[in-house]
Amino acid sequence: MIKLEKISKYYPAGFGKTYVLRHIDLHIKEGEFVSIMGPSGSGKSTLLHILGLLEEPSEGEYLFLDEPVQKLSEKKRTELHRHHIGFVFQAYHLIDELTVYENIETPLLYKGTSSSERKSRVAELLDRFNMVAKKDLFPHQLSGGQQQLVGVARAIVHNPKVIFADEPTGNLHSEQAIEIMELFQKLNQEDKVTIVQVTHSETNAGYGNRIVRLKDGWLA
Amino acid sequence: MFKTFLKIAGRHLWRIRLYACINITGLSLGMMCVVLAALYVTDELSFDRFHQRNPHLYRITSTFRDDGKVATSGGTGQVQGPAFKAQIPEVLQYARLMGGDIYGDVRHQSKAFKLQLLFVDSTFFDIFSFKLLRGDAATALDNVNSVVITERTARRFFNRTDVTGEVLQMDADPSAMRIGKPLVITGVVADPPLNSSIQFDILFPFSFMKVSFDDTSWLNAYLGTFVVLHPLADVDNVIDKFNRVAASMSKDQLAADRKASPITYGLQRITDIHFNPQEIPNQNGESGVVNGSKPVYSYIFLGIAIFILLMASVNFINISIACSMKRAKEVGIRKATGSSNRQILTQFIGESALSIFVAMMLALLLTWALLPVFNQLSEKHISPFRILAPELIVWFAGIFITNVLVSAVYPAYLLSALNPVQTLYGGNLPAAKNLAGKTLIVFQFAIAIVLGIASLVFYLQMHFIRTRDLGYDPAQVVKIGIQGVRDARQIKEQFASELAGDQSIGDISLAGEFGRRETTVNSHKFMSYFRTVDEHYVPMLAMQVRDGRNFSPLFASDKKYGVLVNQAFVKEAGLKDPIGKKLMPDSYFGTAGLTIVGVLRDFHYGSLKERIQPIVMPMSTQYGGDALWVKIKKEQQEQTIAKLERTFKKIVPGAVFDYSFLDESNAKAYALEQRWQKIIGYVTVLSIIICGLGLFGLTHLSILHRRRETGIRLVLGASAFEIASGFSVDFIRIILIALLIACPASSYFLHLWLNDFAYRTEIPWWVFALTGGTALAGALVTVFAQGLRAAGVNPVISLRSE
Ligand SMILES: Nc1ncnc2c1ncn2[C@@H]1O[C@H](COP(=O)(O)OP(=O)(O)O)[C@@H](O)[C@H]1O
Ligand SMILES: [Mg+2]
Repeated sequence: MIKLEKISKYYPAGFGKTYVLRHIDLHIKEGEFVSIMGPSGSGKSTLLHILGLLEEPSEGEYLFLDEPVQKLSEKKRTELHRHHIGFVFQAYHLIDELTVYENIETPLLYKGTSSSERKSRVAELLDRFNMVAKKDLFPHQLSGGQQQLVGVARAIVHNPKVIFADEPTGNLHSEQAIEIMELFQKLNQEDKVTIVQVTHSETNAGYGNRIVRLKDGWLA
Repeated sequence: MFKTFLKIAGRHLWRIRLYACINITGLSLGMMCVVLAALYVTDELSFDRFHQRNPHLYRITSTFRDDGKVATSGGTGQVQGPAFKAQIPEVLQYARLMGGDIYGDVRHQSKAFKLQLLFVDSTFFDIFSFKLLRGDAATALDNVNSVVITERTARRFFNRTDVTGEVLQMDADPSAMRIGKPLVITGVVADPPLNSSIQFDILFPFSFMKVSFDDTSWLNAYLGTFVVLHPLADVDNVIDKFNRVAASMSKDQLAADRKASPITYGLQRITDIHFNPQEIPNQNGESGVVNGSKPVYSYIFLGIAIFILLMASVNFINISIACSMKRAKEVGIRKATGSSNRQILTQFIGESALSIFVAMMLALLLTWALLPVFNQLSEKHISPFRILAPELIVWFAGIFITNVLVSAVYPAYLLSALNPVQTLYGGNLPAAKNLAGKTLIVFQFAIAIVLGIASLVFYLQMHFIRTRDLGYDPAQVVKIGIQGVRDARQIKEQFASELAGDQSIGDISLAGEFGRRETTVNSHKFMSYFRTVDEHYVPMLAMQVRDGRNFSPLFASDKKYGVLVNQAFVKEAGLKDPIGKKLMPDSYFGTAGLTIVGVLRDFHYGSLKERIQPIVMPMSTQYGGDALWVKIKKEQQEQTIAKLERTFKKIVPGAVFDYSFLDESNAKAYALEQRWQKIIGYVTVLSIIICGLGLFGLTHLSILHRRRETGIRLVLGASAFEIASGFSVDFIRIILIALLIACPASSYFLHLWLNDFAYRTEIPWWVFALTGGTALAGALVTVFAQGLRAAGVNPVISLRSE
């Protein structure tokens, strides 16, 4: 479902340009659980952003669900995003003004899901993540692990085909990290969600079924 | 979706409540200004709209060409109306109106009032839509001694309005005296609306005035002639016909009067009169229209209001942009969870619109509360309920939408255009530099400084006027008007002998205004002001005799042939040795000529807006006068005035005791300037409040944003003073640039204004220094105080909370 061909990303620097990614060729099939690894600054986040349509590559071709992304209109890209992509961040990035319930509900609002369906879907996730009692709390009233659970719930509430997670456990201690990773594994195996995560930990990478290594922007 | 939107907007506003308060307060003040201006402008535009025949209702104007100068007046003589109606079929009806600035004493039994008189043709009620409450519009003005009074006048005299058939008296009116019958009330008319150019207390038939003043000249222009044209009439064509008829009918009169030049006629819509009353200065305001205004007042009010609102919008924009840095993360998340740019744009515009809506409601409340103050400042009588009028709702909607466009769209656009990756991974945000924001603050401060300088200069000029040596002392001098055909000389003699020896009363003098008249000295012709006085006048007003002497009963010839003049007269006449020289006035003052017995030091006869003109003062003991001038002691002033009233009424029974203090009536000449001084003062205060709010908010925000930097600097050993200075530098630069713009701009506009005054203050350099210094000091205190407070915060806390 994901096909990168000769993808490069560079930024202007002085008179020249600095490459962050060089000639990346990458295929990810539906149902895979891929871990991207590599030293700090090697371009992992950039790659993930390109995959998640948050950034555009400087060169090369990207096919998402067999559609050439560069050629799509802004509107079409937003459509793809709304229906098929979920994001999980290292810093959780919940909206401070919204409650747990409302944070999880947000993608459904953008997708235009009916109110009754939203209710049942959010309730189902709250139940599944054992967060029913916390649904009216605001992000700052939760621990880091709980916030990331909300982050994951939000990423999957609209039944995306793929979840992109950038160091989802980077700010968590190990028990919480295990909880999140088991969750990912379950989503991958039971719900058939494709998962692409960036991680520094071999243990975390072990939950997946494939590892992609980056070094200085090159695929190793 | 809408509910969620409101929820988020509400929570967001609550979280930034300090800034939201600053925004909403500032905006509501600015919007209040625009709402008030809208009330003013719509009131101005509403003048004379209530006449049903408006589409075809015009006033005849007269254009004079005197030695190259062209002047158009709203006046006509008595003959044009009837002649045009008789000879031009397109003229369906005409009505002549004489009044406006004509007042007279009207009495019912022992109650007498000074009323605004209006002399009108019997077609008056047909042509104008004034509502007759009692009586028959068709016949009310048919008899020479019938009058129609307004509801208000009826209540003043009778405490009721069903007063047709009651009688009124005018004791000293030349027409009433000739008719010899009392006036009979034949109708009661609703008070003229406040937005009418035609105002009156009592209506007289035109025939009543003609009894004592019948004028067949085609060359005069003093009253107002209104015509109703046929609906299909071509206005230009009708004007051509006017001029043809007038040319043939005025031929003989023109030939007889060498000085006169032909008049050309025109038509002016009645609804254009308010903005262009076409009054020729120094002609008596008798053309029947009052309340004249200029469109420029509407422009100024609107202009000022819009500038104030723009200043408030600057705050709104700047604070929104600064706050939006905090929301950049939210934008990133929303985009990552599937929001489009459009949705984000809509959301942020919506949130701002919510604030702006709250501000609008607050502005309407403020308007409601402050309308009395505004009415006083603008000399309007706008009712608070006008706010609910449909045409104003349109204005309000306009103000609201414009505001959303001006202040909400740009920050929202900036936000929605943010790159999600940058916002989530903390890169540099475009808002951090905000050059546009700084430009806006420069503009804002420049306006506040211009207004501050204007306030100071207005104050200095008014102070100059108040403290200027007028060349005479107006203090404690009371003027008592003598109305109508009465022998003022006899009244004065009786008055003086009744009050002789009274300790509380000083000099008593009879004086009279005779307007500008032609004067000839050694065949040099020029215009001079004529005022009759007697020998008590000069000492009463402490005027200085520069040359010759004051009038004196010892010189018998003074009474008929003596005259006092001022230095300006001597200069204009070119006299080397003026005493004993003769001047030739017009025939009213005899044909023998007047001999100069004394020259007075120049004094300010009129307001300081006019240069001192030549003045000729013959004796009122011979030529009569129109007012008693009495110097009274300061102590027990009220009792003295009461005594004057008693004495006056004893001598002139049935007359109205109409008095004024000389210094107060002098001040009336500057009423307009005083009002504008107040308006500019209020506006300056408003602009300072708005600037202050904005500065406070922005500093507060920038300190918040630089909390981490401040923490690091403190850890590295910076002193609190250094930290606070760091925050201040930017603002000092902004104010210096604003000063650079404001000083020349204000100097330019204020010189324009000062040029209205023949006698004026200079603009001293310290006005600029003081205003600039105050602005700088004010800004520094605001910024520095907050900077110091920020520096006092424990660095560890600020570092950790980032
Ligand atoms: N907007 C940008 N401009 C210039 N360089 C950037 C920008 N964003 C990221 N980089 C650079 O790209 C490189 C890769 O960054 P990133 O993808 O975040 O690495 P990783 O996630 O592997 O630590 C880094 O060297 C970073 O400095
Ligand atoms: Mg990274």
